[in-house]
Amino acid sequence: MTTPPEASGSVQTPEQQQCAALRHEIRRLRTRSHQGLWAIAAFAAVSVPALLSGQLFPPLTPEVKKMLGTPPSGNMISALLVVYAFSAILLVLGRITNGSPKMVSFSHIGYLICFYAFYYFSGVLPENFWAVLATGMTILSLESYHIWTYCTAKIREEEETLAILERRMGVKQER
Amino acid sequence: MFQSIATRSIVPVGLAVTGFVAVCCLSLYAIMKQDMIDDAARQGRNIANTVVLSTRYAMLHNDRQHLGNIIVNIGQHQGVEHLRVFNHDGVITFSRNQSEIGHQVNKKVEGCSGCHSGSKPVEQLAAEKQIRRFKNERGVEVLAMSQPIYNEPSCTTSCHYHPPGHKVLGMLDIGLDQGPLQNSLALMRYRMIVFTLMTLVLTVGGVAALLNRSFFIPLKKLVAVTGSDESSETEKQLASGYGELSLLARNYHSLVVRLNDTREALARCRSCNKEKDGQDQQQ
Repeated sequence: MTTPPEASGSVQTPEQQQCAALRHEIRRLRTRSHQGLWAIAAFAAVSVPALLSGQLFPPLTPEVKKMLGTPPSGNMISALLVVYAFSAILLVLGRITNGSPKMVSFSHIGYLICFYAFYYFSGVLPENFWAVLATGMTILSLESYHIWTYCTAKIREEEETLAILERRMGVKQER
Repeated sequence: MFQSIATRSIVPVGLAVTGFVAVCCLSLYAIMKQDMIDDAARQGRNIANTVVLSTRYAMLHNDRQHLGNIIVNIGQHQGVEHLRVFNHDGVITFSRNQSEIGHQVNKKVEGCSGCHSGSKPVEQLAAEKQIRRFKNERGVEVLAMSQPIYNEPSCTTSCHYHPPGHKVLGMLDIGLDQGPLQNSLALMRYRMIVFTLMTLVLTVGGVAALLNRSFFIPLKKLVAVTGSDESSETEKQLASGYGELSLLARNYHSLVVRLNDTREALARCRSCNKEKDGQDQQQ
């Protein structure tokens, strides 16, 4: 845990140092609690070009199609998407149960982009766009909710500790 | 509100179930839609094959009137949006719509580009590439497919001669109205939404009801019991039947009883000491 240097530069008592560390930790937790929303926003931003893929990207030329080889069937990708959604939701629920402090994994956005890409190359992205979007929103919302509740609980703990410390420091000063 | 146990228990379950059911329904809908389109295309290819086989005799005898009548009659079938035959050069020779006859087909449109994208036209095309979907000038969604009419030995030896070098003599192009298919899909979509909503209400409602009955109500009673100084009727209600919460209430009750006993003993002890001190002072 790093302690930010005080602006005054004067020598601090151990209690003051502890208070400063706690305040720093509370700020860090507050920033961290919004991380899930950033992940959702990033995924939404990535989904816009996928939604407009028909207008934004030119159709694949036969040479490119030949180079990429036979694409997997839409049904196969959909089956994989359902398995992925199921496993990811189970993992997040497990993390919620254990109270794991793990951050929101941005790797999910990468996996979901791969699903968009596979559907696009198979030529069935417009039909399956909403399924990928629902998967992403579910996983990221769950992760976001978990990290938000975890951080809120931690912030409350730190604030209580800070209040006790400040009370103790106030008593000492009165004496 | 978000910090209450009820919210913290129901929100993750609700989110997970809602999301997963939505993903499954959307994927299932996409798969079923593709299957239905494939079925419609198969049906269309069967009609195209039937037309080609029905017109074969007329073609061999170059009976253009007979051929034209077959095309017009089949083209009037319900659900057939267009039916036409065009020759090797792309000129429409027979059509349900008489005004089209004699017009050149644009080889750059989707249905033709499958074979005509290269310098030399492709003679054999995979079945799925013969299919195209578009909205026609009347705004009707059409599923169209082209069936090549190949040169056969009998064609090269019949009265009107086709050179053996011509592999494809022409194309039969048929377009089917996708309206009924779209209606079926819309009905399926509506049913799936209703099913999803029902599943969600049952799952989230069931979890909420069970949690409420076996956890939140006794928890409220426990909070009421521990919050008041006096033993009340609620404490008796909580004495059994709520598992761990009843045990917790009993433990709390015994703790309060022990605390009261200790307080009484302490008070007795203090009064004894006072009496003793009074006696000592009198002596």
